[in-house]
Amino acid sequence: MRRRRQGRVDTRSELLSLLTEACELEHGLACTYLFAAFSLKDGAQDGLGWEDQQRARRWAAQLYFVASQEMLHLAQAWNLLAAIGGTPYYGRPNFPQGARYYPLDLPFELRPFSLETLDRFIKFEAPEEQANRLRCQIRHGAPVDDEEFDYSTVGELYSLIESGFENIPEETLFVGTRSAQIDAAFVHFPDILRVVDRDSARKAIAAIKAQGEGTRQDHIDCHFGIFRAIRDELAGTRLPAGGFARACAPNPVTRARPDQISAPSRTGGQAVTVITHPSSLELGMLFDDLYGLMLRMLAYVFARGDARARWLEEVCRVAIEMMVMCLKPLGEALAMLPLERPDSEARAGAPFALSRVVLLPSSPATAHQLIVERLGDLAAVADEAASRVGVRFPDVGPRLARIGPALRRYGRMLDAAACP
Amino acid sequence: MDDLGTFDRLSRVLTGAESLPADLVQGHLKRLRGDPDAGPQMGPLLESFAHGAASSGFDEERFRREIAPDPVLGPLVRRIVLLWLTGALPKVDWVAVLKPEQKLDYDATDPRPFFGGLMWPAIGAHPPGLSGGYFGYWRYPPES
Amino acid sequence: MAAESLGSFDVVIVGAGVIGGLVTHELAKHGRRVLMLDAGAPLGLGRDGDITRMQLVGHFATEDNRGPGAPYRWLPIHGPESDANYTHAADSGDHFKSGYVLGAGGTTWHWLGSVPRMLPGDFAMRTRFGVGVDWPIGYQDLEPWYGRAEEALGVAGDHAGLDGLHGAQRTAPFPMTEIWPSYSDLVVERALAGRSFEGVALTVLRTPQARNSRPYDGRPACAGNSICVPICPIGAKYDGTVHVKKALALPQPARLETLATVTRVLVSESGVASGVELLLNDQKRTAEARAVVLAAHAIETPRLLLAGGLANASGQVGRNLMDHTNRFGSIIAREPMFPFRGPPSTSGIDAFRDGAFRRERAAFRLSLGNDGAGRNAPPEGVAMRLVKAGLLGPELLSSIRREIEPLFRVSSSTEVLPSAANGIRLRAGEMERGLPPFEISFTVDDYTRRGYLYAERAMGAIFEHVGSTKAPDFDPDQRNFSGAGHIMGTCRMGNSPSTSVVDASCRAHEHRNLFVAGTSLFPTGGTANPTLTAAALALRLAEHLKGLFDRAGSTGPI
Repeated sequence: MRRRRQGRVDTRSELLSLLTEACELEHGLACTYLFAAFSLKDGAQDGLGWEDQQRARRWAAQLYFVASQEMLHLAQAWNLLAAIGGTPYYGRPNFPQGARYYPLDLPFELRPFSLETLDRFIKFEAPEEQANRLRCQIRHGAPVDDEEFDYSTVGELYSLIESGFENIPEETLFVGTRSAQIDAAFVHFPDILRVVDRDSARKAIAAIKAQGEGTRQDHIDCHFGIFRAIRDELAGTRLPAGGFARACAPNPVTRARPDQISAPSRTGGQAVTVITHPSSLELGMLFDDLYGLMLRMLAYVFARGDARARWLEEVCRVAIEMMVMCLKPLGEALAMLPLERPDSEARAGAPFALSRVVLLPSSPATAHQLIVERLGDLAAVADEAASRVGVRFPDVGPRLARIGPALRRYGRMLDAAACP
Repeated sequence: MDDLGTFDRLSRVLTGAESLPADLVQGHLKRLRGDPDAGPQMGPLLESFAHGAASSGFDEERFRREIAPDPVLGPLVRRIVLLWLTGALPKVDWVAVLKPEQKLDYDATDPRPFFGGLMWPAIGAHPPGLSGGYFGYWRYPPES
Repeated sequence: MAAESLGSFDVVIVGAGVIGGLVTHELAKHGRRVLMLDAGAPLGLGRDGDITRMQLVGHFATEDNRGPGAPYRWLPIHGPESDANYTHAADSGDHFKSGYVLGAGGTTWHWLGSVPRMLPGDFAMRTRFGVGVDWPIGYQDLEPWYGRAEEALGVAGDHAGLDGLHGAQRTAPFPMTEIWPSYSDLVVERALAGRSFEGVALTVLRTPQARNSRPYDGRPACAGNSICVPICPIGAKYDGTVHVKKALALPQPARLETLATVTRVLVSESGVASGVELLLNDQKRTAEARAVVLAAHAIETPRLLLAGGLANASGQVGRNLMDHTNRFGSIIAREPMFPFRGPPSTSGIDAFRDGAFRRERAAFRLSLGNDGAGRNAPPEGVAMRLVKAGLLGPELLSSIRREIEPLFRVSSSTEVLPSAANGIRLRAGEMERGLPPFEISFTVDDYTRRGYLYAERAMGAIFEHVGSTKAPDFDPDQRNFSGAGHIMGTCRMGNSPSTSVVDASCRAHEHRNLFVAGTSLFPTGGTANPTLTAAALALRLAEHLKGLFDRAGSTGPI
């Protein structure tokens, strides 16, 4: 069991380490929120009454919004890293992770929308003064491990990061290339800030904290407030038959990786659930492949920001469009497809599995070739999967039909951009 | 196959939808049966469709081609299709112009048929009034 | 028998829409005892027995005419929807086409939510262009209040893009970053890059909107339900219930009575207001007040004043009625535009809102549409036409898609100058809810007509750059226009009591404790959707009233 010490951040190395940890956290949280959003019924086929349909779609929209803000935070963390000489990190441990993986003492799992799931989301985003009350943690004195920092909320992690930016002398800290900072003109986040000095770093961190846990005066418009409001509304609403969400398996995977425990259909604890239905398996693998490619492309853009070529902007645009045009419909489709048997209620779900962190080669020409090649391969897989799965599961078909054509279009868009 | 199953299949053939929600299959059949114009013809239509669809060599595209110009069944299936597309039945004297106000007749007690209208997913959009997904989705082309 | 009194208040506010709500909230927060009265129903306030937002959405979904009134026309009291519900005077050259909502929350229930500011030139039309009249205040006077109004309503906008637009400086950023452009906005932006029309650059700007781009004030971010007009199902679009609810939720809450039509402002012989007389559920009542604020929008406010013969030495009460005249054109573009996804308009072209040309012809604002061929061409019509043509099955669905996907429209919203001949007048006839009936006279002049015909040429140029498969569709009747829902001018502000109804602090020239708030104050209409300007004036008035009360004694009229 790792012990962590409280403390202040004094060195670049510590700051880089904490920022990387923040990247993992924001990224992982985004995945859990997306998984829950994917699991909400859309009502078209599920027999929800029209008012329940309104609720489910409204909650899904809010979950997607929070997830998009976590992605903004990830991008902002990448800017913070780049400003001080770091590189964008897209890695994260696979799901599930036990409560002790991060000092937050909260398990990291992919679970469908429910009161319990929302309760966990609330705890993740809780402001410091509420977090302790919610978890009733008793902190024992314990031997410390010099390397790791202790924090009990995401906000506290950012406070630690902030302390690093305060303590380390500004002149020596900000060694990153200014022009490499990604701004709103480049990526579709109007709220993203370039980080070039201590002041802009402070602003960026303050914005992240305010969006997550809110400010001292107001905890309503932040993630914490949103989750609490949804939870209260759900608790006060009569559940429709079959609930608002599909029975997606916790932590679904296409195969158990070496660092994961597999146990078929277990509903609790730290086990994955292996998807066995061939249609879901096929789409699950496609999801993970597209997810990985999207991350590589985004990390590449943030690392190479100084090459302000039209091509690089196009890579960024394609990566973001892939998220909304391919990953989202795929994730929703996976939540509709069976885990093992079509006659059971158990559904699959998007695995969000990451294999090893593999960066695209730094040469733009080579990176371009690899990206376009991969897009073409996955387009073919998508087409085949769409027709096969679409025939067997007609309500899923419409979600899959445009993925292959979209991926091919992205390849053409990249080719058309002034290729380096 | 019972009437619901027949009506489901018939509706899929007529609208081109791959699958239809069970509650609307039920609701629309009930509405049609209660409609003074369509009601009396629903029974014979379902019977003859069930019979034809069960035969080998039944071809959906041919069925559509043949029923559309039929002087009796043509107008009937058009009412069925519009009900699926919009959630409303056209009023008896409907004229297809670009201003259908007062031309579509909704069941005032039930918003579900409107929100289940097939024309919205057909154009890559969502039923007006139901969220299209998430903030900003309108910037991107439709997912489906 | 004397009518029962509802009590004594510091202020009675007539009208519980956005303006009544803002003023009430400010005053009640400051410790004043406020009574809000609204003629319509308690809509969407979240209390037991109120009509809920979902109920209204359900009505929207089962109406065949989905115009602005669709969710509300089933209510026993709801307000006129369009010219069909007005009586027009014999001398009315045109019809007045814009309606309003009676009920808590008011007309902002069905507004689009676009909130551009008026421009410096709009406030000084006579001085700058020799037409219309000047306001008694200028843009600079109102600028800080614009910022406060943007915060109060929750406005999402592009500060850098709009700062300095036609001289309109912004001193504070928007509370939220802009609502994202639609897919078609971006297509049009690409097509218009670097283009001009008669020397004016066709710059596309994000429309500032009272619509959340993130959770704000306890309301969610816009989720693209796309029916802003006539209702936002989730409350991401601001509407007047926000501040009415805030006022009711204060530790010392304001009081609200609905289904309460004020029939008379009670005024002493010396012209001092002492309260109002009203019909509450058809029972006669009174309410005493040290000040009265009329915020019943620009038809009912002058109607009430005319019914009582008040505030009208100038003869301007009810006159100078203005709207914006809207026209639009639509095309079938050469590429998909993917309409009906997201707010019906997220971008516009403000380039023609000001300039020397205003000596000769009206200014206008262009909106890029995201609703196919516009509100007059519902997509159900396309589906009906294709079904009637005999299409069935997958071919029908793909044809519907092919026909609707490339539809695109641009609208123009053109300034109307104030004219004493345009307005409302009381007429003989049966009383309605205790108030005398009225008729409207509204004739659009050549200044405006030249303006909107010029706008059509600009729209034509835009369509040419975007590219279409056949000629754009414009209304061939050049006299025709639709209402913008921007009712203004009928109790205008001014320095001179002989030509205006209220002074620069919104106080009736003749009644020291009678105030008017809302769009009826506007001496000119400019080209901006008027709500933000009215809200800025309302917050300014509230501040003024706070000061008057603070300086006055503890009783008696202020």
